[in-house]
Amino acid sequence: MKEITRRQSLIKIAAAATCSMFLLAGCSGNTDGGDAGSIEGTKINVNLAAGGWTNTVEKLLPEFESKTGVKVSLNVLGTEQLDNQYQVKLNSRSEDLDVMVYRPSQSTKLFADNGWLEDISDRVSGDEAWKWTDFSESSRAATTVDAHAFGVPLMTERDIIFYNKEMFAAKGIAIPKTMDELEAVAKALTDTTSGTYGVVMRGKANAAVTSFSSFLYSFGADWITKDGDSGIGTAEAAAAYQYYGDLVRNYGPPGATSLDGTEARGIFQQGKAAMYIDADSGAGLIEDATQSSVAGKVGYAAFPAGPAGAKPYDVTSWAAGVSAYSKNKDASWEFIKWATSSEVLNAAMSDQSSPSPRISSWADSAVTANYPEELVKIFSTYSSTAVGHDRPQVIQVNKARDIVGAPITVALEGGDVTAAAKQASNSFTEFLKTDK
Amino acid sequence: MALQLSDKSISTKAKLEGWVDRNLKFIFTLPALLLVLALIIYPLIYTIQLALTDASRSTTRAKNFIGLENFVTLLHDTERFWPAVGRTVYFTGAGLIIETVCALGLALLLRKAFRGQGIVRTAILLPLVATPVAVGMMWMLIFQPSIGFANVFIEWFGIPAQGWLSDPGQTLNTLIFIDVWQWTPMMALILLAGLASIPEEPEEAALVDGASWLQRHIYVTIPMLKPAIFAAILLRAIDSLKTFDILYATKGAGGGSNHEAETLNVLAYSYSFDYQDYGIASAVLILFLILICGAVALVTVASKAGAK
Repeated sequence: MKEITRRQSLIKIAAAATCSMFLLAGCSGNTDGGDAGSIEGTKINVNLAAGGWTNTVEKLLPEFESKTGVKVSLNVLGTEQLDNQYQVKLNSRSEDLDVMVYRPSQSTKLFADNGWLEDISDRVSGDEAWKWTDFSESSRAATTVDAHAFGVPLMTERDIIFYNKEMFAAKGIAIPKTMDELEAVAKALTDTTSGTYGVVMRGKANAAVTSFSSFLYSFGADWITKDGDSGIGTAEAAAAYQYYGDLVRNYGPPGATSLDGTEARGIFQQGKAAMYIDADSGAGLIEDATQSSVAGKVGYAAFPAGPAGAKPYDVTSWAAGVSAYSKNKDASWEFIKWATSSEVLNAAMSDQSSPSPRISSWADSAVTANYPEELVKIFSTYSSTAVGHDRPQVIQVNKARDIVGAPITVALEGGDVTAAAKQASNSFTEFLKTDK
Repeated sequence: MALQLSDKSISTKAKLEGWVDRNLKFIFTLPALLLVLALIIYPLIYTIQLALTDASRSTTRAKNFIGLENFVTLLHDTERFWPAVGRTVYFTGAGLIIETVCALGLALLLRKAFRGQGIVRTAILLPLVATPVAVGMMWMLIFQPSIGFANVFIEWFGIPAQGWLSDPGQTLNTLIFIDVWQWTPMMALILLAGLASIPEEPEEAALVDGASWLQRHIYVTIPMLKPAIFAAILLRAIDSLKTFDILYATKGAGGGSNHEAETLNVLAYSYSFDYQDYGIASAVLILFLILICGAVALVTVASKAGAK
């Protein structure tokens, strides 16, 4: 009897110890990693967003892995999920992020300010063959803060007019070149009884900031003045808000204030709108016959001129950087160097319509052969007129977007735009004081 | 000497065994306790600590202790915070009332055995097992004003097209409709289980006494079902207050251009993930926790009062 009791006690002790050990094991961290001399055999985690360039990287990845011996794990996410993951992981100084694909206009300042991105200035300028200077000046500027490079550009995009050639031809209408013409064309092509609209654009306040920015610049204003003050309290800015709101409200589909980029593009893809004004990087999706009923019937035109001329945005939409907490910085850099090489960026542009940030890609007829000719022409005309940002260049970008996007909603709903712009300008001024 | 040692080791062993026997309940609950500490208590304390600072941009940066300033700011914020409280209460309250009434009706209908009962019971459970984000996406397509089916459907009856989720005035009610569609079956199931445990004699007695169908239900069945009704309301209220997935899937961060679907949960998300203002986001969550605790206390008190 005593024997049994003792055995029971031992079992109890063992069980309790095992439970605790499992728990402790669960709590222990991964202590793997560290830079060895060679990168061969290193495993790196690459977080990236779904899209054209990513498809090319996925396809060509075995080439890189066999050449370097680095094992790459790609984690493909949606844009917002990607942002959220960075915040969660980097706030806890997680070491399991190596290469970070991110949106420079949205995150470069914040990530650099937080110390989340590795300064790669020496690495980018240290390889002559890879050629950092082949990246356009504005795209290099987009990933640079105070002369320190934090990322390498992957993709650029420009604000353009996508138009439905059949709808334009049916009414014999010419491509609009000015804001007045744009409004007249939108009016002429709107037929609410058949449910087709002249123009579709983003209307959801935060998302619409980028597509509205080209209108703001073309009316002679900017988010922030040269002195660093709010630029949206001016008469020019109010006129731009008013124009954008009237255009979308009168000649766009209903429910404009809830349209983000994907939904607005969906309406154009279904042939329900004659024009869609947004980034040219969407061309691949619009020409994809599996999801677009207007594939093969789409024309591309340059952004129309406003009172201050045609000033569309021309920005670097995606870039890749190395996490400051990564234990595999050398291997991560090798991956970035390969993924932003002429070969990969050219392949992404010719196979996936992903606009390259390299100047040489646009001059290479083998690359542009598969790319819509009108878009190549637009690229060359934009280089002298376009503006290099499509949202306020601040640290807390989303907060700023909500502030400067509020008058867009008021304009879309037909409210008092001047008052809304004034109020937003005051809030923006307050915000700018804290965003340092 | 050896004998002494052996005696000592035996006595130590006996002591350990005795200690283990005495504290067995604590030893076995220790892993669970540690898990609770790690997963609930620690985040809660960390959230309270963050709420008392001006943490912004990154939680790893230096932050200043600012006391209750975040709470004061929020309690004075009539632009985002209080409307979000209003929406949270409205969304939960309206949803709960409709769900309770519908679930009660559904449970009473399904109570009596009928042919095909199994199929019907399975069919009404389908919305419950669907992934909330997929549900959100599905309804978003149905309610799309230009290409969705909802407007086609109501136009068959001569009703003009509506904005649904894209009309700020209709958004919250449309979302309540989706919530009711998804969660009424769960409440109906709880009530059905409650109905199964009610004895039949009182109802039969009422029938013999000449009570009508309505009288039997109002004066006999429903009062006896009260504990189940309160249990269902309590469970659903807690869950409904915390709703995030459907709101986020249909309206995104910020709850729309006019923040028309911004409940406290969505507001906390906006402050933390959109604005990187972790201090004030934590304060929203603490106030939200207080609201949930208050609501639970209210339902519990009402349930006890109802039981008397």
